[in-house]
Amino acid sequence: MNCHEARELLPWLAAGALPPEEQGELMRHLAGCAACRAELAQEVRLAREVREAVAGLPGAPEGTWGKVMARTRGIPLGRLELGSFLVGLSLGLSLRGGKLPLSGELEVLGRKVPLFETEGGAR
Amino acid sequence: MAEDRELLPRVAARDEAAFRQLYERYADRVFRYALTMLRQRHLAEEVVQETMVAIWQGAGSFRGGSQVSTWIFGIARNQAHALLRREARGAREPEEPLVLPDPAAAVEREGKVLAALEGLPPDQREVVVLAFYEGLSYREIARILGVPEGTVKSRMYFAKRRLREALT
Repeated sequence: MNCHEARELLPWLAAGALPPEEQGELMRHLAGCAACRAELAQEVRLAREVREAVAGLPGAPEGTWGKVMARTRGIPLGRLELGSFLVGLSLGLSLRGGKLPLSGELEVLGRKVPLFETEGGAR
Repeated sequence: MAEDRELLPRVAARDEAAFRQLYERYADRVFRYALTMLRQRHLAEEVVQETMVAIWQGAGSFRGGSQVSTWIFGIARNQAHALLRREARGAREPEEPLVLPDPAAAVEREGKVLAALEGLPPDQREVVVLAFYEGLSYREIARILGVPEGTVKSRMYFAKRRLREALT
């Protein structure tokens, strides 16, 4: 491996994203090349600074999960629960994308298993 | 804790708890990636929403040929670029700076790094963010972007050169 080939891979080594099978030859080159080792030190610093700067950006706003749920599961309109704490059946009606899908879940010892979900007709 | 790969079949079976776990793992990461690409928070939130809805609808189609993160960021990237195209067609809202000036030295340095990132062409910026923030390999990034591996490497090369110039 020459310096040009090594330097192509250094950013991914610095990012911790170089597959192990590609690390061996690069490590051997680095062991004998002070210039590429110095380059790696700069790459590591740059990778860390970018990672920290992007990680310092805000995350998804608080209400995003609710919006995702409204689009996937719909806005709950009503729920009917049957059974006991051991086994239960629940039927839920929700509003989603202008439709009224009905879903059913079986709950056994606290573990919920989806049973069915209708498409729901147009409102 | 369940692996991402274990969660997807559960999401396909409409397990909300599994879906919530995936959301917790990826929402902020996708939001930040989208923010670096779109520079508007409401658009970045839209990318998160569209990505999560696509995961909910398409979890059953994941065949395991890649990392789950590669699949998810591929979806997010498509959504971000669709929004970029939509924004380009319509009246473009002013971009928000990624960071506001802060007197603290460490934060000031972060601000400089973010400003340097903003100065990169978008195709170079996303390679840098996906590699250094997400820790994705050049193969995974090539897969997400749909370009040859050599293109990813050359975008990284030019991006680093510009970042170093901006940060020294």
